[in-house]
Amino acid sequence: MTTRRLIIPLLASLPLVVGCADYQAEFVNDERVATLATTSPDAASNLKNSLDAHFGTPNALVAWGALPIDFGEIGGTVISANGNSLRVSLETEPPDGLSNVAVVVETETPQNRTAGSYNADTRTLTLLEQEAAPAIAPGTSLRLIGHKLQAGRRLYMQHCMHCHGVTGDGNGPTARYIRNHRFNPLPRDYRRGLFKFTSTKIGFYASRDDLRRTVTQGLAGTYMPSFLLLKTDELDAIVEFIRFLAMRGEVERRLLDHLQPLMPSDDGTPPSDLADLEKELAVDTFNQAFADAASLVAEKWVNAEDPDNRVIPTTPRPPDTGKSRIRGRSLFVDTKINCAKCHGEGGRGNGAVLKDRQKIPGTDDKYPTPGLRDDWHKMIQPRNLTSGIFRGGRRPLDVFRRVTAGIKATPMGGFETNLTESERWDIVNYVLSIPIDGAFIDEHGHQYHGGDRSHAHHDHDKPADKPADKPADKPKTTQPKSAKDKK
Amino acid sequence: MSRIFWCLFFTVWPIIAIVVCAISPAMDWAFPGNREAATPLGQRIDDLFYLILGIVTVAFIGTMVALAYVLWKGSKNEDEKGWFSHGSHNLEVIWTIVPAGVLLFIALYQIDVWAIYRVREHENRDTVNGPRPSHLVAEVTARQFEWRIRYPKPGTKFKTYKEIKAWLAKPHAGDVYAVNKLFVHLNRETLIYLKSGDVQHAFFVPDLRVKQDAMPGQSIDVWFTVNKSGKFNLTCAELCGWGHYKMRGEVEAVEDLEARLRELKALQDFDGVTPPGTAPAEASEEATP
Repeated sequence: MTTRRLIIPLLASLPLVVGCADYQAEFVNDERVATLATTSPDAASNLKNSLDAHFGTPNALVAWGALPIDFGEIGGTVISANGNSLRVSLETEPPDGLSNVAVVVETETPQNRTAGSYNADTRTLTLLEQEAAPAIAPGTSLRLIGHKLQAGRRLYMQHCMHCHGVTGDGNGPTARYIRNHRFNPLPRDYRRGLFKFTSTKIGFYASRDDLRRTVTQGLAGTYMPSFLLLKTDELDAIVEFIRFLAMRGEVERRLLDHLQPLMPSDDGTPPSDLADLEKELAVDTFNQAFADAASLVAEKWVNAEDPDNRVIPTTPRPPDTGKSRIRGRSLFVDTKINCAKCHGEGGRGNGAVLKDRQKIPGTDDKYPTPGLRDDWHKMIQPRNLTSGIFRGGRRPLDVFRRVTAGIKATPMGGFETNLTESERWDIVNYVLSIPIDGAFIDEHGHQYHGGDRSHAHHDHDKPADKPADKPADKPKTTQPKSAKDKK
Repeated sequence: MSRIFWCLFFTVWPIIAIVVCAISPAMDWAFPGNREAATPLGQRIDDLFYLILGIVTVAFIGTMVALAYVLWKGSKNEDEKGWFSHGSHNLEVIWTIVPAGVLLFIALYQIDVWAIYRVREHENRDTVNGPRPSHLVAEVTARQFEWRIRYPKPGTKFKTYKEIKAWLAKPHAGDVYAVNKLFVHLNRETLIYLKSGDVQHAFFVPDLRVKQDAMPGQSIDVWFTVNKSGKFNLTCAELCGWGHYKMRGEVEAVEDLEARLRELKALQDFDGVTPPGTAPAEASEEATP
């Protein structure tokens, strides 16, 4: 009887104990790795091991010097050494709870060691045991590398992981709530290096500032909230970790492209000359391919930081006059760039193109249903410009960049070559005026909502709102509408 | 033995209660904001709380001491039979009248605070065209999982509620947009209109003792006067979804609010060329068509 009384509560509390077990996060490999493993398990495991060796696992990240990432580096010198426990003087105080970061000890032949812990009070750095490591003399300089990436990982796990996933594949546990919605953009899958809202020119990746802006401001109108109250160093760490995940994913993807000939055909049969191909691709040229992929990816991310690759207007925004807006409107509906094709005559994001089935990129087939898709094959909608929501920001500069370089990985293209800068500014003036004054402009230069929703005509019909005798290009920004309403 | 135990048992609780109350200020077990609300109304709400706490403490200690006394006395008395009080008309009247009186007192005493908190402004609202003090109006839209904020163009003075309603109805030129950080006047009344973009949320600033649900489809007015400068945490107090905890915002009271809004506006008008804050591009007639 007594035993039963004890056992039942113990069993009942078992889930609590199990639930608190140390959870080990893991990077998930691309789906194609599993496909590859069906024909060539060696190549697949080779790929996995190489990725682990250069990028590590979430709990033991590797700061690979080939990547243009600020891993967080602290220099210092050894004051006294007692085996693996070193008294050190560091240039800056490392963050609390430092462990598992790389330590490069500049002995005669530099040693790559790992820090076990650091005690800030005694300034003692304890290195993990390493066989046959030469003794470290006082005065030796050393570098701790990777604390920033670790901090980024910690913060990412708190704030971002549940949508974007441990691997940054946009497939975290809460992503499903977003996935179920037809038009909600999915959490970004970093692994292709594609980020929609950037300050960079067409074909360039996102800069650190772009990612910072997205994290702090959020993407209005989507599930990406604002993390404005993060501290600067926290924000920087998160951005570095996102870049790290993007680079890891892209290196993996490029290697899978390299190993593509080893993949089974659609009916599951392995390629006929598997053994030869395996030797060539997965053994002989693999390391070279890995290095090439990494340097290519690194170059793209470095280029994104180059100020020359940013979209920066050379002329300031022209005054927001009626004439400028009219020019913007005529470009909006003009066949040369035809914004209205997608955004609709009334700017409501319901253009004629939505009735067509689009081609699947890289194939000759079309999607089974009409509508626009992004590069992840997800249905998306052209922006409803009347809503007043600008996902990439509402600064004139932001809208100028959207018109110039488009939105990456979506059908929204950039018009840098088709339009002059002043034409683009006219479009900016016009687009920013749409939520306030309406997309249509009549022959007198008065703007009104309408076309798609009949009740919107009221705005135009109200004579008090915009008297007909007002000059067409009367600046509208200088007077709040509420003041006009009373007149 | 067991009689003494029960006597002590019921005596010990009021003693513990008094000790906990006495040490709680030292342990920082108190209201947020260093025990003092950052709004005058919040301070009055705290006073009400302390008043009720006082009444409850007296009642609690009184009943506990009485209980201990009765037990103690009864434990000494072996012979006398207990008095069965059930059905005593006088007792029933006493313990109905006394709490009712206390309740009535609280109800009347707090009426002014409640009127200021939720009612008085609504009465002003009936005279929509009447003059009203100009104070900050902002539209705060709670959505999963952030606070989107819209201010009117810096320098706008609303004269009537009708003008505010017209402003709330749609975007206007010169509006200033922000997210997760609300600037308010120091020592002047702030009026915000609370909306929800999706589900139910609650605008909760513990330091200001302001808490108001945001309901989808409604625009709910909230007013308060912050009399301490500084930053105050803004949280969502209504479980609104899996990312509820992400809705961390900040309310900052500043001396010169209009200047702060002008700064925000200058950043919002940034065109990549003209440095923000220097001569904003005044709209003027263009030379070329």
